[in-house]
Order: sequence, then structure tokens, then C-alpha cells
Amino acid sequence: MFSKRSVVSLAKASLFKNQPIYSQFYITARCNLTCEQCNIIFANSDVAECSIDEIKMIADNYAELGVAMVLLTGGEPFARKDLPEIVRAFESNGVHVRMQTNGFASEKQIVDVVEAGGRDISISLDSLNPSIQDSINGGFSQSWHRALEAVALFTKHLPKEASFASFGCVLQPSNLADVEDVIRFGTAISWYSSVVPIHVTSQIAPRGFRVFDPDFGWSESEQKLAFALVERIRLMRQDGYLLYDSDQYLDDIKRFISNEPTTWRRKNGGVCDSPNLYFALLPNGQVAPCCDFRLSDAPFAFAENFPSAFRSKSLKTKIQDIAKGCDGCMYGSYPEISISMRYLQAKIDRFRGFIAAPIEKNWPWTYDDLLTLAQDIRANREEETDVQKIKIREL
Amino acid sequence: MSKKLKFESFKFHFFRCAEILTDQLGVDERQHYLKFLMSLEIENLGQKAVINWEFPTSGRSAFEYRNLELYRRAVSSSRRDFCKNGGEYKDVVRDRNEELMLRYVSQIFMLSGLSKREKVERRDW
Repeated sequence: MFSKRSVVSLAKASLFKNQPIYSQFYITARCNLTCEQCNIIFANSDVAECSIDEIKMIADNYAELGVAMVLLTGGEPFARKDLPEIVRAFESNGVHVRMQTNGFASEKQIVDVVEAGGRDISISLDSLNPSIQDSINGGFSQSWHRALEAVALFTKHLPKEASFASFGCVLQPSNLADVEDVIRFGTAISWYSSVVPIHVTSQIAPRGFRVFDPDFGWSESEQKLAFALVERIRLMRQDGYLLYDSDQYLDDIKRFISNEPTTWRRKNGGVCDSPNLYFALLPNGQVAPCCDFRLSDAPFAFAENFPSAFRSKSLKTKIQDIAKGCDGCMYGSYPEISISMRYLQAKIDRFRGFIAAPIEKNWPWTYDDLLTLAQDIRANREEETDVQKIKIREL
Repeated sequence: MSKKLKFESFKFHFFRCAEILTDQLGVDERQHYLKFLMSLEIENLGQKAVINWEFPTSGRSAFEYRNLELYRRAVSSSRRDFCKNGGEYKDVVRDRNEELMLRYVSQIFMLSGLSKREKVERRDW
């Protein structure tokens, strides 16, 4: 899936920790859902979107910088009609594209992005219970079913070889009983799952992705349930379930939800690796340290001089000054990249999982079969609940 | 109930600009402002966000969303959203929104009696 140049970039990043390999590009703030745990659609609403011509220049500049992978996210990336062109712009420059979507895409849109070279998809799925998912998604009825339809379409149109499909699952008090189901479901259809804990902030510290609502914080009893859940999903991964998250990342989830310092930034003096290993782009193409913070005068990635502006000491200093003041996040990709690049065991695990033993995909799946599978998993879960309760009490 | 896009955007950018302005204050003065910000209640009334406060003097103020330019779509034919200024690009939409919101937050600080003069300066966040 990665170009030769990207593989070289990944090797350089692993050795020197000073090669940007990953970028989150928030190509639009527009979204057809208003998910409870997402604030970025409001935080990025104030900027103009880049045109496709500007994005083509961004793709050229990413290739020059050696960026190996771009996450096209939003908002909802499929809200942009030119998404296939955007995918093509990056893929034709050897920059691997991952698309992050809520699943509100038509078959034609999915076919078009696959034909454009898109081979990597992440769909948000927090529960196998339609009513819970619809509620998390902001009360949009049928949103769970729409996501399932998109899953079926991607298993139909993505090639089985050299492709990657995953679920992004936000761990929050309202879906503690559902996360294992999502992982079981994903594994049954050859999709990985990744868990991100909900991020909450207050009115006096607004951050791009973090919700203001204190009701999404963790009570003591919910924390205990979450700890137990993390241990159970760790065991699931050891049993062969397709959970993407590393052991260190899972440990840090527990620390994060109990407001203790996480460990993934330790090897870089307690700050993250932005912009040395990763960075974000706002919808207007401006560089940002991450989804939570911005610079007032950051360079635009479509500018002719962007590669040199990005490598400048002044930009690095500005971003690292912000990173030094950050308490830390658990947004998934940044922690996992730092862990993979800085910890040998994680590196070995990644190699084993993705290069030495890629999974054989049992695709395609129809919507009806996925629906039946989801119902079966939920029905079987009911029988396990008592066992889970005992495990939780033991902890 | 689904969240209202423009209202939630207003709320986020109001508090973000408040953070920009309060970050420039001394420790004691900043604490006073933060207490004020934590106590603010913001309601969504039609096309307006209404801000209510109880101290130092009670009051309220309304802001019309249409004054902000939100969710600006790509302009394919020209770069009118991104003008070049002294060799560097500027996002005209972002700058206009931020300036407007900084001024509004500053006015709220004055209306409430927290500050006596308007302070508007862009900073990283």
C-alpha cells in the first residue's frame, strides 16, 4: 500500500524521529452528523476550504516533504464532491490516503474514491446497538444503518489485497458495554478496530476536538468499568481479535481517563512529536500542531515555498512551544505513531501484524448479512454479561 | 437532540477568543476573568446567541450568527479567499471571523465591567 518513497520516509522517521510521515488533513468542517463526542466541526467552521487546485499543490508539497500517509478527515470528507480528485492527487504523488468517514456515502461515491486509488478506510462505529449509535451521532435516525451499508459497499469495492479497513470507536460512558461487540463484529468481517477515549474540556480551555459538556467526563464507577473493559479488549487482541491498539496505548487510555499523565510522550521529553513526525492541516490548508491547537501565522501547505517553510526552525519552535504546554491527548494516531517509532516492542508488533502476517479478508459482505451478524453478536453478548459483571467486580 | 452548527461554532470561537485575550493578563487578573467565563450562560435564540452574566454587574448581549462567515466552501476558480500579503498567504475568511469575534469578546468584557478598554490581539491557540 505504501510507495517506495514512503517506505524510505518511514525508515528515516524510525531512525531519526525527524521526518514527517503522517498528516491529518481536515478537508472540510461540514458534516451531516453532529456526534456528541466531536467538536472539530465547530472549531474548524471559521476558515475557508481549499480548492482542488490548492489541494493538488499540497499533494506535490507532501511528496517533496516525504509525507507517507495523509488522513483525509473532516467534518465528513464525502461532503466534498471532489473527494475522488483529492484522493487521486495524493495517491498519484505516492502519498498513501486513509479516509475517515461516518459512512454517509453513496455507492457511486465509494466506487469513485476506490477507482481514484483510495485503499484505506476508517468508519466511525461506537456500538452495534442502532439506537445508541444514532444517539451518539446526534440523534440522526438510521445513521447506524447507513454506516452498515457503507461497510458492505466498501467490502464489495475495495480490493481484498493491499487494502485496509477499520472502525474508529470512541470510548465513552454511554458505550462501555458495546466496544467489545464492535471489535467482534470487525474481526468477523476482517476489519480492524481502534479505540479512542472521549476528550472533554471546559469553557476556559477550548480545544479543537474536545467537547465542553462535563456529562461526558468519567465518574469513579465508570472509570472502573472502563479499566476492566480495556483489560478485556487487550485479552481479545491476544486471542487474535483485530484490535489495532498497542499495549502501551491501552495502558495510556486507562491513565488518561483517570487524569494521570500518559507515557507515550516520555521519550521525547514529555511532548509529542509534532511537527517532526506528524502535523495537521486546517480546511484552509494552514499547518496546525494537531486538531486541538492552531498557530496564528502558520504557513499554507499549498504555497510554493511550503517545504522550506515547514522545515524552518521558527515553525518547529512555535509548534513545540505549544506542545510543551499541552497536557497530552489520546487521539489514536499521534500516540500510536510516537509509540511505533520510539518503542522497539511496538515496532516489532506492528511488523508482525501487518507485514509478516497480513489478514486474509472474507469479503464481500452484504448489508443483510452484516445486519444478521451484528444481531447475532449482540444476542450472544447478552449471555456473557454475567461473566463480565463478575470480572468487573473482581477488579 | 442534535447540536446547532452555527450556535456551537459561535460558542467554541467565543471561548477560544476569550482564551486568547485572557492569556495576555497577569495571574490574578486572569483568574477573575476565568471565573467570569466559567459562569457565562449562552442561549440559542433563533439566529442569535445570547450571552448572560451575573457579575461584576449582571447583563446580557446578543450576537447574530450571520455576522460570521462559517463553513465557507472551496472557491475553484480563483484564490479570493487566500490573498497574498507580503509574500505570505492569508485566509481572509478566517482573519475576518477572528477579528470580529475578538472584538465581540472584548466588548463583553467591557459591558460586564471587567475591563475598561478594548483589547484585540491575535495569538496562537
